[in-house]
Amino acid sequence: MSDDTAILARLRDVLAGFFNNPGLAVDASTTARDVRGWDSLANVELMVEIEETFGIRFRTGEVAGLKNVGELVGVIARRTRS
Amino acid sequence: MSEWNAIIGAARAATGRAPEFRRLARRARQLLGEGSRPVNTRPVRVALLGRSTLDMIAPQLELALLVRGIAPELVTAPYGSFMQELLDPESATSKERPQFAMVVLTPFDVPEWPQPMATAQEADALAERVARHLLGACEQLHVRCGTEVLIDNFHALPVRPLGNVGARCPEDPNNFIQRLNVKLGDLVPPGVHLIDTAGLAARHGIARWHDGRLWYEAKQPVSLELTTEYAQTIAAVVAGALGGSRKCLVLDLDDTLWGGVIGDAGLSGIELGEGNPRGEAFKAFQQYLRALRERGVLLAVCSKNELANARLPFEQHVETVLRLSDFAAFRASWDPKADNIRAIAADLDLGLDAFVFVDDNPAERELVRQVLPEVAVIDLPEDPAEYARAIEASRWLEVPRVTGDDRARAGQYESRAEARALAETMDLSEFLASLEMRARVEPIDEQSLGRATQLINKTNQFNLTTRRLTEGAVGSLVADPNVCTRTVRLADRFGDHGLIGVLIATRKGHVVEVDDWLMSCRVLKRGVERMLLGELVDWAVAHGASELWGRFVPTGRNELVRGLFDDLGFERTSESEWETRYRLLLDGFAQPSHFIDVLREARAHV
Repeated sequence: MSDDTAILARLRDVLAGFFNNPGLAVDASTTARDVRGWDSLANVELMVEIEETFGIRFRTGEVAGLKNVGELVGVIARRTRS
Repeated sequence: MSEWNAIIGAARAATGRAPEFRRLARRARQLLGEGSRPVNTRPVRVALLGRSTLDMIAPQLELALLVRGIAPELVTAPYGSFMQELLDPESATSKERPQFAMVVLTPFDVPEWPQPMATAQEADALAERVARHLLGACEQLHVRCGTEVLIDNFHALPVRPLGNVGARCPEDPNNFIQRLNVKLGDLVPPGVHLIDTAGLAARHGIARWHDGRLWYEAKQPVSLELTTEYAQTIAAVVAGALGGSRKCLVLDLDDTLWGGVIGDAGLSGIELGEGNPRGEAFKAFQQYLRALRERGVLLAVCSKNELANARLPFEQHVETVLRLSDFAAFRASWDPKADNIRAIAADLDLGLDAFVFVDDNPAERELVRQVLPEVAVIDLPEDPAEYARAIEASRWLEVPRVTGDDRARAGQYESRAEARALAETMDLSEFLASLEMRARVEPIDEQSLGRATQLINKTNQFNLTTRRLTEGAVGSLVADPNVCTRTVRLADRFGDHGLIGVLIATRKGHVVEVDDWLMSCRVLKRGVERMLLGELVDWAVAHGASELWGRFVPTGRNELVRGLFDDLGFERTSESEWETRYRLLLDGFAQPSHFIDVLREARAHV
């Protein structure tokens, strides 16, 4: 699972930069509600920034209904492999 | 306050860097939310309407307006029908009485499409109805509340079930969108402004403009990447409507209007036109500037040069597009540019915020930014082929309308009052006459020597003898009184084609023999060949010759001109596989007719 660990670390950096919170700590169970500023509006932009950072493209509807950061890492991993 | 300066400065410099602009927009929104405002900005209330998601556009539009000196109060209309917001006197938007309203539309908002098998007339009629429907609603808000209403036209749909043939089917949605956009442009009423989203999306590409995933997930009308472009276009129109368009471009000279340094390189050393790639790019940039001038933008020069050197190319360079009379102000000295710009502003009686500074030197640009923060500075890219686009992308010169006064102000509006109706069928003579061709026929001289030599050495198709010569050899021929050298420059209604022909002929006794004759293929069969023959005959007769000789030397690449002398009335005197020789007796030669207005230099023919 070191793949996912690496993705999580990189994702943390993206989130920290996006929400202007360098010390931000996240783990697999973190949800949007736990991060200040992470509303539905920010989410749209954040997903695009994640796509740009990881060089991937989410499918339509793929990131809707994700429960937590762990599930997001899973989708990123899937997209990075394919 | 200094944070606002930093944000606005960074936003100005972030043209083309969308993620940076978005980050700054988020920060700006935070500050605005806290009640902070930059100083010297004009508070303006702007309503955002539309059936798509407007939340992503809003912060970027805010920042784009701030960069233009506007402190925006953005009011997003309740999600739902923009038509109701426009038409209902009790709508939230009407009650706000905003100074501006932006109606964000996508092709999915077109209320009615043509029926299958619709005819062109039916599609046109429907386009007009739809346009009036949309514009009429905008007009009502304007009349009711005094709001200036901005509305998108429609970009093409990303998919096209009819495929390529849709271009000729009135029922095809993209075909209909084109009709609709024309009608929208034609019918815009006072108080309403069209945002040319069709043009903007086309420039960037529909695939980049429309993000299917974002549309289906979040009803986002524009991709995240291009929302910045969209917001800046809207802001430019708002600023323009408030009189915030800049009025004057202050231009550097060296490496901005031509390649190289005039003071060092002299007239023949700078790169401007003449088939030189960089020179052609600079010439095209001058043409762009002249077009700006014709629609009312003022041009001024601010250069670090001796005045005489700075003026020289405009007075004497054969390829110059701009002339001294095109400039409303002209300052060339060794003083700091900021001082000269201040002086120009005083001369023209304009505030510093009316100016845009264009200079290839980043150090000069930075200095002007520091000393004169009100002046807008274009971050010119390194490639002159990109200069015009950089100025356009800045949007500092966008205006809400172009009036007769604008054109007259630039002082050079040629009256094109007579409608030039293009005849449906024209015979060849009518066509050639309609081209309004003008030619300059001159001996090769110092200025044209390089270019003429280049043509001699690289022209293959229209080349009778394909004799290759060094510049030195050409120079010797030019100096020889028994040799006639001629260059031909041609301009017509569509533009200046530059140097398109070279002729060299030598007199031996009573015979003048054509040694080199080459022309650009672009201007074939327009009568230039006949015209040039007439010029040569004049020279020959004036020097006591009674015969012209010519020869065609086949190279495998110049079959194009195998029959040229035959066509011009010469008789063949000998033929072999290496060469065909010709003769023309000048006694009784009649000057051929042609449709070219020939300008000759009034100097002694060499």
